Amino acid sequence: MSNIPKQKRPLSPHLQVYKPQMTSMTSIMNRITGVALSFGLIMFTWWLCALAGGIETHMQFQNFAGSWYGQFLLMGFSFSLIYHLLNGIRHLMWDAGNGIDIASAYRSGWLVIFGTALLTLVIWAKAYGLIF
Amino acid sequence: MPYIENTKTSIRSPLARARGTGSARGGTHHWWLQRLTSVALIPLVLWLLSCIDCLVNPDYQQTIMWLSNPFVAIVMLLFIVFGFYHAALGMQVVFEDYVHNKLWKAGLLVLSHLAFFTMAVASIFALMVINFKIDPLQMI
Repeated sequence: MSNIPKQKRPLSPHLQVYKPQMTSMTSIMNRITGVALSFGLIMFTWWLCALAGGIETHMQFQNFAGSWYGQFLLMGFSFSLIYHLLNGIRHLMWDAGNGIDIASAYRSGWLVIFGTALLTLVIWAKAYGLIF
Repeated sequence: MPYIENTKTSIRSPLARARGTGSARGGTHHWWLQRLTSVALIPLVLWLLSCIDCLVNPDYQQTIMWLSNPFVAIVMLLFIVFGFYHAALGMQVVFEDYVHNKLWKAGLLVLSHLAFFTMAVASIFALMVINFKIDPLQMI
């Protein structure tokens, strides 16, 4: 086995020629939202440290969080959190050996997409005091 | 239990054995911890989401009062422990998958693990300061 010459072999998957599918998109989105959440934890740490620091440092954080870019980041964070949560449950379901066939994967994928949209809207309505 | 290879029955070549390459017998450890922390995070994140109005409350006193509740503090602590651990494990896989330069990969892995650990410690410490009402000015 060790005398096979090293040569450039094609690597799969060939992302350039692949047609985007819902299943592959929901898969990569899990990773993207995970990375986004990891960076979002910086803001979470800042929030807690600002609170511990006192009223002035908390004010600094609130000025950031209340600005349009702060709100944009928080929206991205909550969307990512909800998507990663729902799709994570989907992955755990697969790990347990359930719903691995194509039809089920599509069904659960749409459930995650619509569930994320709905839950994100509800959370933001609640955050702005529009409901409950 | 360390894995001891049976040299009589093993199909590995003597060269492979001498090089010490092959399975480190820890293949599922990282994967398993990632699942374990994710299962723990499901109820924790659901709880966090249900508290969204407390989380985004801009009022200082009310937020301090909320975080001083022992139940809230403990759940928040659990979220910090499992959340940062889960994030560190996840970012490790991302770096391992996409960074191919050995030096960059090693550097980024060390840096990300240290960063997550530092942020977790800082968050826990902040929560302790809030809960034990430590006022640095009164200690002088």
